[in-house]
Amino acid sequence: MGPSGCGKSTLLNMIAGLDRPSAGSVCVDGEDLGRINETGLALFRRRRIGMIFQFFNLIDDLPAIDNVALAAQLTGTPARQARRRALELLDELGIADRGNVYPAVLSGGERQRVAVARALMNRPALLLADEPTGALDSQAGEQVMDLLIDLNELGQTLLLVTHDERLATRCASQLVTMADGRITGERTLERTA
Amino acid sequence: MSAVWRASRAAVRRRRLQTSVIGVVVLVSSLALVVALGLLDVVSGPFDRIFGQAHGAHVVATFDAAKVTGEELGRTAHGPGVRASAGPLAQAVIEMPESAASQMPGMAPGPLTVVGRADPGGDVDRLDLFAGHWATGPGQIVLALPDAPGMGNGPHSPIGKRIRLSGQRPLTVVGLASSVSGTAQAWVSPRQITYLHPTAYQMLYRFDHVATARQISEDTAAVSAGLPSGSLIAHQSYLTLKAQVAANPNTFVPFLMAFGILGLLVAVLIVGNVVSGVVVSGFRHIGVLKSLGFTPNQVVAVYLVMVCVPATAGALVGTALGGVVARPLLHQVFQGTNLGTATVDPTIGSWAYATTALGMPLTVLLVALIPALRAHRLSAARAISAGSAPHRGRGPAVQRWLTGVRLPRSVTLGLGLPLARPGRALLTVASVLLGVATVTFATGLSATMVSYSDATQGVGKAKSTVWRGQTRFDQTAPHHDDAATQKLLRGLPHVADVAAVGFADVRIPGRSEGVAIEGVRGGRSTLPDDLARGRWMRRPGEVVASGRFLAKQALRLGDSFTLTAADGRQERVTLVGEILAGPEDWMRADWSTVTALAPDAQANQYWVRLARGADFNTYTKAVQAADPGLYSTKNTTVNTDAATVISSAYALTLMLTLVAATGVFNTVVLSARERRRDLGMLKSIGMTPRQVTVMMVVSMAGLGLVGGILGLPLGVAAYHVVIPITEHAAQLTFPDRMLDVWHPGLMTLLVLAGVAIAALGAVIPARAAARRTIARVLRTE
Repeated sequence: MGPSGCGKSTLLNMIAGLDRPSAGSVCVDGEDLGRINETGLALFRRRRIGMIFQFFNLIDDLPAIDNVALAAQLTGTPARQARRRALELLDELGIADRGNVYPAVLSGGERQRVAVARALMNRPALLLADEPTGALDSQAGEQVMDLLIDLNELGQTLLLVTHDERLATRCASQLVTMADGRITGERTLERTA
Repeated sequence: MSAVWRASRAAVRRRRLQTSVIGVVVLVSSLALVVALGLLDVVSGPFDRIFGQAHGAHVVATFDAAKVTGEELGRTAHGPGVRASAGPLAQAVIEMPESAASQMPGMAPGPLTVVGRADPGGDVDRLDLFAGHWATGPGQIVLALPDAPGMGNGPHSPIGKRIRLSGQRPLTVVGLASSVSGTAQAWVSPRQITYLHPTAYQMLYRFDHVATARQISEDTAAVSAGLPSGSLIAHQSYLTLKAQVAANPNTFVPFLMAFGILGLLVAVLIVGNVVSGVVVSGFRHIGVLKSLGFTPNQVVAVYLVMVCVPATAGALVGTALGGVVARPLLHQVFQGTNLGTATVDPTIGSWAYATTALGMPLTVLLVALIPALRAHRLSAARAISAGSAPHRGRGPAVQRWLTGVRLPRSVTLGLGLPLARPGRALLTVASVLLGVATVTFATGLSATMVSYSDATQGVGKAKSTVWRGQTRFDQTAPHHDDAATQKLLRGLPHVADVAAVGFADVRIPGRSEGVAIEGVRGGRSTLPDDLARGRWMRRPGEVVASGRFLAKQALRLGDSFTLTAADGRQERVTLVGEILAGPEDWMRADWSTVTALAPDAQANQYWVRLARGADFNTYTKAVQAADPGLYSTKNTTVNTDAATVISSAYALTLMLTLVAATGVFNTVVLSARERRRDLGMLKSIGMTPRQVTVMMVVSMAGLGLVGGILGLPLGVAAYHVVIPITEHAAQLTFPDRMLDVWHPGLMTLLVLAGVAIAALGAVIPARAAARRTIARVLRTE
């Protein structure tokens, strides 16, 4: 948690291997990402990381189910099998009936649920969420947070970045605060939700 | 206005890649345009061009030196209607000895018209002194010969050779020149001509009105009106010369015109594709400018300036580079091509440069204006959304279908990408389509021309012609008679077959001009494989001739007609075949047909086919050793017209392919820019750089495939339009086997050429997109 520009998203991107540090090294689950080439990082993300963005980043030309299935298809999973798994995830997230709808028609909350489903598609060890409620109204934001907390309670490791202290204290078990690119504090929390 | 300029300058700086792409595309297109226009310029009315460049003489008048003085002739220069004149130039006729002519390619023994001239320039008939120097001193002579490879230097060049005249000091060849007006066969200095006993004066005139033969006759009559009666011996109109030149087979002209037109189309299309793409991708920026308070007109002005600055720079640099590249390229293409005695000088007219330098930025302006005016009408909010969201339509449905196709997902995603921008995809398909059409056209054209060249030059057939020596030409007489010579040559090592060939002069009753009949005895395998229609002669009384012969004599295959020899013997012959190339006053028959007309006919040459792998020098020595009176020559296998077409086809195909690939390059750059958020997301969920590259390349390869499938029939159609024009222009008929140039394997390769062009243009920007850091993109809306 930290104010805008403190480096939260940069840190998240470096953990995902989307960005490289100008100095120092990034180790995730014992792997030094600085020693891995771009293809290796892509495979690392594919197998170990799921990402959720503030602005969803769905492909406009594909319906929800195909957006979700895409992550599996990139690994070579056959289309039918990928779609079946995508439908299961959409069902678990409560939007199975919106699977054939294009992103432009979905509400903000629904779009973020599709994004969550896509992030979970390859059963990642680590789910990274960058301001997942930042572009949502308060009601949709609450619903998405509930969803992420449920996932966490089911055993999914979640690293969430936010500037919203209320949100952070509500869902986090471990809170790291940042300012001007540095970690300024770290504490363990009792979840309030 | 300063706000517009400032915003334009900022846009140019901020969009360095797009600015560079516009500049490079316009540069390459301008370069191609200069070459294409230069090509059209050079091949359009080549005689008129060359004649104009050389200030050719509209009339070459020859006067009797015994009846008129130089002063009297000098006064005709100021006669009515005379724009410019040269002369009087003293003219003499000398006898070119066989000993000298045999050492100089292109020269024949016999009378040689020599003119005394101080220099090759002047107001009329500027000569092209392409080798050596002008004859300024005593004993020097410049010969009129076409500029052909090896003529100006090398062992067979006439330069340095001597012409010995009886009772005169020898003349040394010091230079070679060509004259578009054909005013002389050689030139010497004005002082030297006095030693050659001139009998006539030559006057060269350029008149104001020369459109018709009547005008020229009236002009000529006017200038000679005040001269002594009978002093004008002869005069030659340039219209006569032009008609003779026009009758020569200019097979390459229609082909090159087609290439020039294709080049124009491709260049304009690519520029349109690039510029409209840049403006459309800038809609978002247009919306932002409007929201800042720019008026619609100011916004349009910003975009036009932004696009026109790099376009103008690209056009200027491209035009300059075009001038540098086109001149040697066209020189290479037209090397050895000549019209009559004048060599085609591929000089590009200044209009081609001006058209490119001004026309290309104007085209860019007009093309940019269309989407810019659309942006003019859009509200700020709609402009912003139009810039960020690709078009809808059938795209999503097709994308959905592609999702289920059993191909790697990066491939199916790539195939669906162009559907987001159908207009741009269409322009990309069009540029690839023209690229493939060009490749198809060039492939067919080259195959036909190679086949034509091989057939007319008898490639793989007679490698050598052996001539019987003649004492009147200072040669050794052969020891063997005609039949024995053929037998002797057949018996030499490495000789596979020998045909004896002789001629007889005959007439066709009712026709004023005589014709030559060529008789071939034995050695059928040495004959060139140049039958266009019908069949070869099989029995006495059957002849074959060229299309030009058929046209001139108004004959058709199957027609029978009578030939009459000088002594009155007659033979009825039937025309059974048309051959590809040959003079208009010549036909070929078997030996018995010739001897029926001229019983004493003897072969004067022998066509020799050598065994595979035979060494020509060894064979030549064997011929000389067998009979010193036999002179062997190596047959050339180069057809300059075919070489012109083939080399230009390759050069232009390469250039147009490059331009088409540049269009694809631009499309991928724009697509990667617009899709950077999608690319970032795909990378974030594990798409590897290789998969990104594959996706982007496939997105263009799919369009390339469509362009290839559509471009193939277009190229074939262009070929079938141009071939009949060529046949008509050159008065020849290509046999079906020469037109059967495309086969399923080749057609598949040509369609794949579309994919290759697209992939070639896409691979660099695709790799750049694959390597791009995308973290920041994912955080913005």
